Amino acid sequence: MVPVLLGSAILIFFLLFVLPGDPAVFIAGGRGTEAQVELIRRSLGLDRPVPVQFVDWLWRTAHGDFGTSYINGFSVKVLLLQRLPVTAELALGAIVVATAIGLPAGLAGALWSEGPIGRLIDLFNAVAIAVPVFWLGILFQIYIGLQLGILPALGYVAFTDDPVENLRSMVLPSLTLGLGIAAVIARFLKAGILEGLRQNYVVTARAKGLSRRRVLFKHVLRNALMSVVTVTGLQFGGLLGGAVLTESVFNLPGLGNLMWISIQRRDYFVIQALTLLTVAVFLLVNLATDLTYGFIDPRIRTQEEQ
Amino acid sequence: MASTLGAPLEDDIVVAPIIARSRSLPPIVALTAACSLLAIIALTVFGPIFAAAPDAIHVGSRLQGPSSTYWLGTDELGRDLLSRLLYGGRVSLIVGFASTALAAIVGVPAGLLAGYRKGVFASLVLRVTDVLLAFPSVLLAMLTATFFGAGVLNLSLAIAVVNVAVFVRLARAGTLSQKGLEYVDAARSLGCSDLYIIFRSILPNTVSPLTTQAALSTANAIVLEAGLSFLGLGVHPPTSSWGVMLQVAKSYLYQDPWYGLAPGLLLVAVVLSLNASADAFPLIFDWRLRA
Amino acid sequence: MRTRPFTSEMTRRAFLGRSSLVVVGALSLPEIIAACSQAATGTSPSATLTIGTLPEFDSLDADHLSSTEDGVMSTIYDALIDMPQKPLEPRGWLAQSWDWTPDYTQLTLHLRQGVKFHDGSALTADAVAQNFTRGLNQQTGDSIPGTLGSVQSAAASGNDVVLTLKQPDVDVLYRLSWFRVMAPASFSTAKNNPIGTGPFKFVEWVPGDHLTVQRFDGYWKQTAGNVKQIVFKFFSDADALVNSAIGGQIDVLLFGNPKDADQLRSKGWTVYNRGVSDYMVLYLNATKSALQNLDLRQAVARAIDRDTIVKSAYYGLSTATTLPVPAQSPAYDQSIASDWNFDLSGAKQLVQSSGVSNPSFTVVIDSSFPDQVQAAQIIQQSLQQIGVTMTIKPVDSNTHTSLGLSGDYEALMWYASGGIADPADFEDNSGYRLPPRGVIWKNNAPADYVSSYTTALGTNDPAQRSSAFKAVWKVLHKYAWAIPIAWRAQLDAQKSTVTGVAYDVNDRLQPQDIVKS
Repeated sequence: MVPVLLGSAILIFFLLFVLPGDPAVFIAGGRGTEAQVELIRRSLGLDRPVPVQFVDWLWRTAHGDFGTSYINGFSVKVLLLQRLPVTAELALGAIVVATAIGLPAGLAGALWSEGPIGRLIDLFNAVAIAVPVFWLGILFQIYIGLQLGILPALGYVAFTDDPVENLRSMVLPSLTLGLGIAAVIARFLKAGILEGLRQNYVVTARAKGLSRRRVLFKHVLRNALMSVVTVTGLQFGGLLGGAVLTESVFNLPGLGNLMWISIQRRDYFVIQALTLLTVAVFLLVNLATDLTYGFIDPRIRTQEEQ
Repeated sequence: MASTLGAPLEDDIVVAPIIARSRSLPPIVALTAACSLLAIIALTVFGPIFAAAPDAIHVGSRLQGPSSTYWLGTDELGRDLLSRLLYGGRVSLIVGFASTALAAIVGVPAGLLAGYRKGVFASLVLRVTDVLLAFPSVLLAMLTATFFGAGVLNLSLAIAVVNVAVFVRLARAGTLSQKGLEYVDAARSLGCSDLYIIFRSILPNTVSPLTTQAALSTANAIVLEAGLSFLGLGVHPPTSSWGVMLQVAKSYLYQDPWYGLAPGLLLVAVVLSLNASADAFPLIFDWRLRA
Repeated sequence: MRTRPFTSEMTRRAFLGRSSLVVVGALSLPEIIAACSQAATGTSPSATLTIGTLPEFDSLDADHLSSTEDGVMSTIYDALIDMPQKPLEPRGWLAQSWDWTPDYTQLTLHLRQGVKFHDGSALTADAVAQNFTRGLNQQTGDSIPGTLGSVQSAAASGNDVVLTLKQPDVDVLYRLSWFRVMAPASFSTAKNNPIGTGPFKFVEWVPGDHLTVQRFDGYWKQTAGNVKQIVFKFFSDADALVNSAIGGQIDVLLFGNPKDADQLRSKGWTVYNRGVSDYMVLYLNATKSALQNLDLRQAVARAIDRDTIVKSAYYGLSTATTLPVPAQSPAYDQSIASDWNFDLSGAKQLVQSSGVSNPSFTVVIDSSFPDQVQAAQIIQQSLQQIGVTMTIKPVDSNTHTSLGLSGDYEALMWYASGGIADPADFEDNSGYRLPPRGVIWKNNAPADYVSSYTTALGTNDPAQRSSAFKAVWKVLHKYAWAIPIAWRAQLDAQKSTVTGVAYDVNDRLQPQDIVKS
């Protein structure tokens, strides 16, 4: 895990270094002069040699000091903590939507895989995966939020301020982000169940007289759910991407939005800290799902070791 | 397979078997999807021949709905939406295919070599791939797109960077599972060089999942291009792409609700067909599966 | 839609020789009404106003001049003088009155007494002098050193602050409307914890989400407003901002897009164009590539279909311009302006006489501004018709600003603040700047540009000043490196229940008299 984090640190530092512009330009603004930009750069320490800046940042981060925003002077930790609850709630909401829709859909798809219901669910899955997140969000916002007016079209209300409004304002964003994942869950659950039903041990169990229902729920479903969990875990990588767009469309002050505006202003410390945070979360989730999966299927574990 | 901005799913040997099992679509569906994909490509290749100029500005007739002169209406500068849709389709598809081609050209050889022989090169490739996969793909896309700048080639490069890691992983996984097989030992004992073995023997056997991935990466790239254009990092005006059209359409939803309908539908249709026909590609490329 | 709020004559005499006649501390009509109504009903302000705006927001330091923060800053800070849009005359604000020395090299500001900072400390001449010292310093002064470039030093003397200038420059007085006063004790933390003397005091700021200010009861002026708290909500997406207004979540909308005017009106909002001080400009770098050719530049100036651009990008809400001052300004001259009327055949002839074969250049635009994107494409089409190839290079805002300040471009589209209060203001914009601050003219500018500008800057009599600047416009048109296109239309809107929204000449929101019912 550490090499990947280090590699990510190097990559993001390099990418930001080659990117034209810097925070000094943003601070100086259109009424500034080049001389002023240089002055600002010097006062921010941006004129030091790149390796020096890199090591300095790495050292401080390793000790828990994520730096301060070049732009507004707030501590990066404070900025991250301010926005973390929003994105965490969005991610949670998306997962809830995804399981609430995906699990029944997958189950139904498997039980009635031959008939029209199964075909319909397949179609829904394919479309839900193909529609871009931002477009889905806009459609929800305009038609459900503004025209029908039954849910807030955008904005965020903190849970501590008004729990009901908070939940209401998260419905559309969660749907936007969660539908795609729901489709993935449905697809994998259905495939996992159908595959499971073909396994030898199931045939044996049925031959022994166990009811179909019992077989389904005790063995097949459990194994199928494992693969669903693995795949859902992998989706975390794409969650930040979806969050950037969803938070922009629905004006949620979350981490995705922070990433977007920080890139625009080249707020280096914020971008770097967010990147490492995202990578760390992704690695942890991957680790967890790898362990679970390896635990379930010993064959995979040996294959990995090659 | 991705509705979010990136993160291809099939990125690990652990998951590949699950993916294989999930692809339970009957071949007829896959082939139908492949045909509709070809139809859309043909439309964007040949359609512009019959269409009006996509860059002809007539501000006086802007943001009109569909009519007999303008079949899909006009955009915010009065240009014909149908021709912009067709020319834009070219851009979106080119970016989609070109970025995948670039990613594959770089990624597959790297993966094959890394899988065949352990060593410094293999470890380096593995580490870099790990980092690229763990790195938030939307961030990578935004930064590379900002760095390379606007334009079709630049966008393809930017998106290729995001997608290359998957190809490396898949090629490596395929090589790992192949290199222990008997025919490889046989070839080596015959005196064949390593490169020969890799590219003449191993590669053809690993092509199947790679072609599937190519289809999925292309779909991913097209959505990514749309997303980047949406964030303002797209092609040079006055060139249009479906992503650019969607971005502008979003601003004019009140003034002209029809603007985004066609690009949105075509985008979904292409991604759908690519995803669904991904199963058909191995059938085309790998003769043994057809048997 | 509000019409452009200029009086037909700019009366500079009111301050140039007879500064003692400047209105001192008198109450305006809204204030009188407020005082009466409050006394009558005994109500204290209680409403909360939500203002939606875009978040190019990075610092609350008063020396940081940025158009999007100005609305917020004017709630927290006061400037030394105030320049309303109507009547277009400076009036005393923190500086109650002022005196010029006869040669206009020294300006004495008489400070208003009894003004308090939000932390309770008193506004003294010394505090103001400290503000100047900080502001004029390149290291700490942010945008101020350029804007107040003529000021040499500031010193406190009793209740007065004496500004000594490097050369005679009456424009300094106008530019003081940009200069806001901070409590010296807050200098180091002003960035995110500002203390000023304004009608509202800072409460909290969550960057990118919202900023809250609350009514300051110790404000030196009686105000008509009934707003107790203002919450500024930030939107990173312009369409989300409009949707929020439609959805009823905000009371006031700042920095909207003209295309949304109809939609907002249909929901009962009051909508108008408040942008009267900025214009879109095309800078042609006369030191690079094909654009070194003067005939080619002149051709470009005449090939811009300004009326179509106004119609397309600004929905007809603003007007075209070829001079850095508005038509109502006494320094405006129609005969010079009409030089660059849209004339494709004339432009084509100039291309031919330029002798450049296959002329082409690249223009850098900021992709986050739809008006730039549209204008560039319209210009591109016109240029194509006369045989000039213009390639559009869209970049993100940060890269755009970086290029704009360094001059590393063949052509660049941007916004310039017009000479509204005083014609000399035009030079502060990057492409126009003279050495040593020059961006296009880094080392030497055309000699007649330097001399005509210096002469104009030194004039004091209004008639003389106007004709001196007209001479400058002639030089601008002679060398054709900075091509004005159109005044920028910016939509502001309020719910029908909100009244009393006002702006100063710099298009800054003045919130103290806002009433929300």
